[in-house]
Amino acid sequence: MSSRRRKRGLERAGSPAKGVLEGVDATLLDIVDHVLTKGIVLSGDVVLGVADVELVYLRLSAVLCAFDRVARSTPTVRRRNAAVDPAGRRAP
Amino acid sequence: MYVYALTDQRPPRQELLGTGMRRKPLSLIRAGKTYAVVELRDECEVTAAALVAHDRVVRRLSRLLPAVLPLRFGTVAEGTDAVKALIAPVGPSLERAFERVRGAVQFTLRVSGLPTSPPPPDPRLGPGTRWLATQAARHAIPELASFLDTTRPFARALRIERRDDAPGLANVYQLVARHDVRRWRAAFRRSLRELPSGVHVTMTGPWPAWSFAELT
Repeated sequence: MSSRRRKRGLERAGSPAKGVLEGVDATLLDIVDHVLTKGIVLSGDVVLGVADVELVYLRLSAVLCAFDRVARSTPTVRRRNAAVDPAGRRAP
Repeated sequence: MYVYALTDQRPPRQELLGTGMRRKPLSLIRAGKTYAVVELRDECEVTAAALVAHDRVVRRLSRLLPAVLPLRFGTVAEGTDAVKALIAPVGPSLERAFERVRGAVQFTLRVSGLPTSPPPPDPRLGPGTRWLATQAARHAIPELASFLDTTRPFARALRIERRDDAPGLANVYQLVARHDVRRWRAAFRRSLRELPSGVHVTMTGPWPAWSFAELT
């Protein structure tokens, strides 16, 4: 973001109650991080509707993970599967 | 219905809530002392445009209302009763969360650069204490010490996430009262002069209190 834009946002911050959330330096990275991995997750009977797929009903918790979090957990799952397989075959 | 956020106060007029991602008017569902801001729709596509639109709606709500707790993208409930059932069990936690974020905004900082090697633990310590010190050092971010010291007086709360994807060092989230935003920004600019060589900080904000909307 340009310094000019930052400066403009700073000047708007001079009237806090009115314009403090305007002139924000927003990036898609920040939006993805905030919207997908932050915010309240309510537990209970929740329906998640994603990507035009039929609604998925989750009883325990509604947690939508960012892709990097899902990807990071994959090797752990594979190791655990391999450990319980007496033949030592790797899980698909 | 799609749930965007929770708040503890009604706007002066409901039409001020505006519309949601599908251009349908937002409405409020009351559950005790809490209001859920919803749009009558039951699906959402995970696209960049949808994420930006979700953020835009929450940002508008945060300008309108003093205490807004954003919900994670994709939260959908089956009707009014389901929304109330979601909120009812967490009422006390929500009240604490509303007080935490009331009148405050979030600044997000992405810190990158070469990590500093932590000093070895004091050999005079016992083995258990040394192990604990080593674990603590793995989570510490000495590169940010000056920044945190300078901005802390103007931050209501702080969250730090250590990153392990070099050159990323950490994500830092600071919750700042709106009336302290100007002073926080000035402190932030001062703190940049104290950053160690090779460490870079990208700051964005102000945002709604995304990283502080947690139930404790």
